[in-house]
Amino acid sequence: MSPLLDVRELVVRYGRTTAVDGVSFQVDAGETVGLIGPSGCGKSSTAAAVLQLRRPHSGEIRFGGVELTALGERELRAVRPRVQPVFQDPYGSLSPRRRIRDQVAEPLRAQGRWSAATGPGRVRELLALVGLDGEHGGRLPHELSGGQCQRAGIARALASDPELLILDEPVSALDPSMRAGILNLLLELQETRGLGYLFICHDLAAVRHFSDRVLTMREGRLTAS
Amino acid sequence: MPSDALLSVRDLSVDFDGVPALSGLSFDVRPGEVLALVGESGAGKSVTARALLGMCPRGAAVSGSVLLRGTPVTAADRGRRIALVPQDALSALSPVLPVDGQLALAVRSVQGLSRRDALARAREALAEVGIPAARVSAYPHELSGGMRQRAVIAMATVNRPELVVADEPTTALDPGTRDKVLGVLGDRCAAAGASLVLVTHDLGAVGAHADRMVVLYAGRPAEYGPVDRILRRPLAPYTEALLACLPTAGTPRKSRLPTLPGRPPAPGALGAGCAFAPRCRYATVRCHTERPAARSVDGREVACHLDHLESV
Repeated sequence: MSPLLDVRELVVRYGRTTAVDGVSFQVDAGETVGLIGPSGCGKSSTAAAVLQLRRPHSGEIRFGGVELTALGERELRAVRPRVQPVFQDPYGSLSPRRRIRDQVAEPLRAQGRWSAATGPGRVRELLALVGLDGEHGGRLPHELSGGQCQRAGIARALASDPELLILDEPVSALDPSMRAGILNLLLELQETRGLGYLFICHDLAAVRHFSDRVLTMREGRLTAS
Repeated sequence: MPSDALLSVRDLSVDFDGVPALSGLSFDVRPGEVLALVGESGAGKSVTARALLGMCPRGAAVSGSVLLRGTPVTAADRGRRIALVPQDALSALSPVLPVDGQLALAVRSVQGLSRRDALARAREALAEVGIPAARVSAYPHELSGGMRQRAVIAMATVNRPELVVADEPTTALDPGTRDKVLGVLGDRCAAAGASLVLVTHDLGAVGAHADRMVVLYAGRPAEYGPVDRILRRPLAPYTEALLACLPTAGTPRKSRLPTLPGRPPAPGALGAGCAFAPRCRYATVRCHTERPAARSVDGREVACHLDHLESV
């Protein structure tokens, strides 16, 4: 069986600066691959390329057997829901002015999967999946704790029925107990849904605990770990 | 109570409209040490930082005492004897002056140097926190978050204060630069001979950078003592539960981590007993009815009724 994500000889450049310099790795369904390295080593650029937020200079990114770098924006639109990001700052990744339930509903609407009959129920399901209830759904982000906001961000990522989550420092801004709660939630979602995770984190203990394999990056390259 | 304390805090309490944000906090900061103030969001860490500087907002009722070498902190001491490193570096710097220029103003106002000497001293201080010479005349918005926080550290330490209070100094930074910036903060305080009060929720940073720590829960001190002792063997049930949330080398891979059940109490909703009692796995009837006083156990102060602490 081919891996869920297969990255080969990825090169990402910003002008003359090479941020990612020939990186290859795979992520299987149900597997967590940790990615660590100092600031500026190219971790987030790798994530941006996998999310197709940044077109790579060269290399291959195969997702579910499909070569993404060859696709146009129109064709990518069909793939994007299957790879979803969860970012570090739970407040920054949500709009401060819209209710949580509307933000969780947004991917459903954008993908034409919203209907008045089934939409609200689906949103409640998604919130329940991450441990939030309808009352939380009616609130604005600043009315939730950091941990609850991060849960809402995960619910929104799950709304697209993704197969791969790109977790970019998802617990770095949280208190220890909230951090443990989010890691537990992600472990549970992986077990029940077979999600693949690319987990970027600076906390070595958290990466070792949470990942099946750990890759170390330095100056744009993977080093033996 | 050691008489050699640089900063001595006794029974510090802060109320906002009758709602207690901080209640009954006592600790000392010794010359040259790093003391960490630890707790979750809303535990009273930032209120404490403000109170140490005498900078609580209008409407806050402050009681208890904060003495810097035996005398209360006054406005004249801020920026001279005691300095603040806030979380948000951009708010601490003037947006309309280059960083070397504003640092030179701070130097001149305290040290009374000539314009030229002050600027030279400012640039030297910026070099000491690792800002490249080519960037010292940049405006704050032209610098990265880590560089800005370095500039604020230079600002806080350039006049050789006795005490630096850093309120979540690295929370707004990329996790990878946090440790470097904390290292710079510790180095500069040591070089200036200043003690450091480090407010943080990052227990990893506490282990790496602090000598002693105060653990706050719901505005009350839970445990106070040497970092190595507390991290190795926490005695207050809250500290124990907090540390248990963190995976260690011995935690089985992909196992579920313990979490704290429930949520911290809202300010003003505290009962008569221990603030942590509703979430405490050891709580007895007494814990729900009587607030525990701090007592000395195993080289630290613990606010807890539990009998098993007697046998430590």
